[in-house]
Amino acid sequence: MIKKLIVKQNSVLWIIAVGIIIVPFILPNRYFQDIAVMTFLWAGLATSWNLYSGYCNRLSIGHAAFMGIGAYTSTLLYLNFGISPWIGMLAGGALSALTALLIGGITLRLKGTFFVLSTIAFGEILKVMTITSTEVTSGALGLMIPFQPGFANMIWTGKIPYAILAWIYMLVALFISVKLEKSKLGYSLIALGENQEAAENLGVNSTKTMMTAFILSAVLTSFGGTIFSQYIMFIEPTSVMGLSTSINFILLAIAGGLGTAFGPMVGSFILTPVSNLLRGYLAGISGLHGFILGMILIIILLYRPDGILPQLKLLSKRILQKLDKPKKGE
Amino acid sequence: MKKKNLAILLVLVMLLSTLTGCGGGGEEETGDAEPFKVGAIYPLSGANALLGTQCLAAVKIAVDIVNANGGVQGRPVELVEADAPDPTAATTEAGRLVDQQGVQVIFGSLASGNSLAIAGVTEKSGVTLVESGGIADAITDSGFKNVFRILDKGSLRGAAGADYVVSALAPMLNIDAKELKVAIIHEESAYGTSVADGAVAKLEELGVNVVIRESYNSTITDMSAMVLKLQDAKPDVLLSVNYINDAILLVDTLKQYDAMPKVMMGCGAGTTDPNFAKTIGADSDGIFCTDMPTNLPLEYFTDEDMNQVVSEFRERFKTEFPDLNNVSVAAEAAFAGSYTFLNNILPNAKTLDAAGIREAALSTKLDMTTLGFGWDLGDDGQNYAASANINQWQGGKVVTVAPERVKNGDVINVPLPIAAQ
Amino acid sequence: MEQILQVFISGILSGGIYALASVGLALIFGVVGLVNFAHGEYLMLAMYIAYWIFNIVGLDPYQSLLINLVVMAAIGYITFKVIMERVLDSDHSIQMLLTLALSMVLQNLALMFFKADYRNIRIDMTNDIMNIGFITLNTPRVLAFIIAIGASVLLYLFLQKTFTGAAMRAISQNGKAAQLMGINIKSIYCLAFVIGTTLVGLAGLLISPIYPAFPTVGASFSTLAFIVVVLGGLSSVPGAIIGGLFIGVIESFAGYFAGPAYQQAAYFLLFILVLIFKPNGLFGRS
Repeated sequence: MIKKLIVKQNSVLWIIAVGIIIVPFILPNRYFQDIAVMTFLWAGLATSWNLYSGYCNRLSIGHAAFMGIGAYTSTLLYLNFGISPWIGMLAGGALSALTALLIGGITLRLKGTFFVLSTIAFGEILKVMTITSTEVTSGALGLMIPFQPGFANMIWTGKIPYAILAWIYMLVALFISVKLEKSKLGYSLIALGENQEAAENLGVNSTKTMMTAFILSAVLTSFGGTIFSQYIMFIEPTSVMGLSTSINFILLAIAGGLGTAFGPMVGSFILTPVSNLLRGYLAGISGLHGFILGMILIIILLYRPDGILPQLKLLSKRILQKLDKPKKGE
Repeated sequence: MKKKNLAILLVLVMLLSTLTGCGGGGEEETGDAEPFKVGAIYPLSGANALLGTQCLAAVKIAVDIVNANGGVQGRPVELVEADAPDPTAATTEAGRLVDQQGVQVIFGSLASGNSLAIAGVTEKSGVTLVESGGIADAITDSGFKNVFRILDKGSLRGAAGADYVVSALAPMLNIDAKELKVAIIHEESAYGTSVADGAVAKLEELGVNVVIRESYNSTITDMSAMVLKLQDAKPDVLLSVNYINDAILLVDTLKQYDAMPKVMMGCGAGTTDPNFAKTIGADSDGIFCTDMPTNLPLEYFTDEDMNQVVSEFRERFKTEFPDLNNVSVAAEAAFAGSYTFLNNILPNAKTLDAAGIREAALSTKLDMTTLGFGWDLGDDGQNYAASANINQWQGGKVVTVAPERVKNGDVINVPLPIAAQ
Repeated sequence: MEQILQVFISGILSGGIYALASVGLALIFGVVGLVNFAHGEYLMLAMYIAYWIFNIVGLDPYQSLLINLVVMAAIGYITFKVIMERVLDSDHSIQMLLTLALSMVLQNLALMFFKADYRNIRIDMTNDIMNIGFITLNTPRVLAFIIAIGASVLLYLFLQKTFTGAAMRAISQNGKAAQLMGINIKSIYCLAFVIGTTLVGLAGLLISPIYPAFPTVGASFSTLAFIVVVLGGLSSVPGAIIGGLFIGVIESFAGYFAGPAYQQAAYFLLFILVLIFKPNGLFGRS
């Protein structure tokens, strides 16, 4: 019974996802709490990315654009009109949905690699637009959010409120993923990812399915962008909307387990702290932390290509079996 | 078999995180007094790693010199270094230095974006940021209480270059200021943009005609199209803000298309870099570079102690970077910022916390720092004694031609011999 | 008018290098089915090899061309045997991420061992120009163009005229059928990968006299090569050549008419327009 619960129902993963919020409270200082915030936030972002790209196995490498739209919309509304980032977050989501509709209309019908590379192009175009529209976005100079703590401003002095916010964001993304997996939309999406022609022959409306998931993923990513900008309190096009940000989504999701609800979270729980700690403690030799992180990824991919999560599931299954055996002997 | 591999992997990951976690946490033996911890955050990996590495080396030398002289208020200085290739990493790393390592002062940060991100962390925690690389105006215009910048603001630097072009060079070219045609080309990050904005504002104020303004990404590999566009505008003066690669590519391309204007006025980083003249050779003769004072002759430092410190710094820097035939201006600034702060400001602080340090930083006035200008901070933390010098490449060396008080040579090659006919 | 022709020619010259940097990628994609995000890193490695040979032995990049190509082929071979061979049957997303991780490793290795310094190769020819009528040409760029186009055409002829080339095309069109016909598919994969990395290495070598080597130099070429290859129809070698020239010209015109800040945006925009109207690339099979 317990075994069934654990292996089939993801309940252990839910317990971890919910219980992890204790961690920031017991961490010794704000540096580790900062890593916890980043871990939750990246987990949420990677889970959002996974909603479309992971389930139907078509990687969007321009998703940082949606993060940028979220970050810039809420920040510009806040700085220019004093509109609370909570509302800005929704506005950013709406703008992202529109953008996703437009981009999706063009790119979603493209096949495999064409799709992947066209997303790079869109991401880069939006980045260049942000850099060159200096009147609105102040371009490469970036935007700084003044430190005025308060719930309405989504700014706090300590790290704990941010940790809770990022954690809720992550849970929402997870919840939507799990719901999606069990919905008709999810089934259709996974079917499309496995074999588009076959799925279409079975009556799946590929355009509608993909578009819905793409928009959902874009909107959630954009929410993460708003949280990101309110946390760092400084945004600039190259770091928020750059290719490396998009690549980070993919990295976490694939390392954890592509196209599984909890995979991106597991990926972030392991890789975000590891990469931050590596950078923090190996600064003495430039390049060493990037090298080690790359090697860890290569090793994961060569030996465990379906990601860490399925391996963990397998492991827990085996442990349970072993635990079962002595009981039977008694 | 499969299980074994997984186990190895997990052990590896865990080992790495614990190993690194312990490695950095260890306290070093630093004598009787409790060490005074300072941090240095520079981009040590990624696209800006080159100058970041040089800056970090300069800060290390400053700390060594200060420690050899007895440290800060009798306490040895302990330096904790951090790598911040982008603003996000800068935030996390600033948090590590402040909250994990307990540093009271951070030196940084080269890239303006990183500087603003770090300031967001340090301001909340009552930690001091000494900025000696980021040039964007916002760093000292944002109302931060504990951010101090030793070098000039970007807009002021651009304005200084533009002003010199109009007041000194236009007469030498026999062109009336109203007739002068100036082209501005800058790299598109915060650095290039803020300097160029300052230059444009100054030129507009002086009623000078900016015939063309173009920005480009510093990773550009072919500038032909931009140079041809520039050629059509037929400028008399080119005001440029570049990093090193693009500065070299720009001069090369201008030469190839025979499109070099009569005067080229570089503003910072690229055109002042020792590698600029080393790479392009004799063609650099007569190209201007407005920047912080750099490679001033040792005689300039009349104070004996300072003279010795500067010469020690230069020698040690050269042994660490034997490929460079000069100290880069970024490293000089990083050294000046950290050395001045440790040697002149902190000893005056009644308490070594943010309030005490701010009080000392604002009340201390110095006539001279190792960078060649004084220390006189405004309430915003900006050093208003900092000024840009107008330098010119002459025979592979940087010669200061203005302002008068620091001048060590006369202007040559106006118009440039390689200028288009 | 003269100026516009000049802009066009300078675009064509850059385009030649883009073409060479991209044909290797197209070949690897077409034959091996691998999207190689570490492609630009091989360009970076070749630039460093050229630099170190120039710096230590004193041979300029043109004199060290053969040595450089042999080393690049060896590096390509090792990468294939150690890493790529293991993921040939894996999912596309796994392969992509693996090459991303590889590019991270190579970039940071370069940073660790060669430092972040810009390594310039300055030869007498660097700033030489030729004048044809009113057109000005930079000699190293002309040489790069000629060698690049020559190498690309040779590759095309190799694919068309030799047995091995025919085998590669067969695999590119239908891997399973080719295997049934007795083609040793793994060694063909390996050969295609090695040729691909050698060609992008050649591109790196050719630009080394006019552009410095540094750890992240490959990144911008990687993205560009992808755009070129997709424009050309993914696996088509002639498509990649024409796509490269096309991008070079677009970039040049955009730089001239709109300004260098819009160069990149211009070819990305063009890329998207092409995908709207020809979803399989300009020269792709539908």
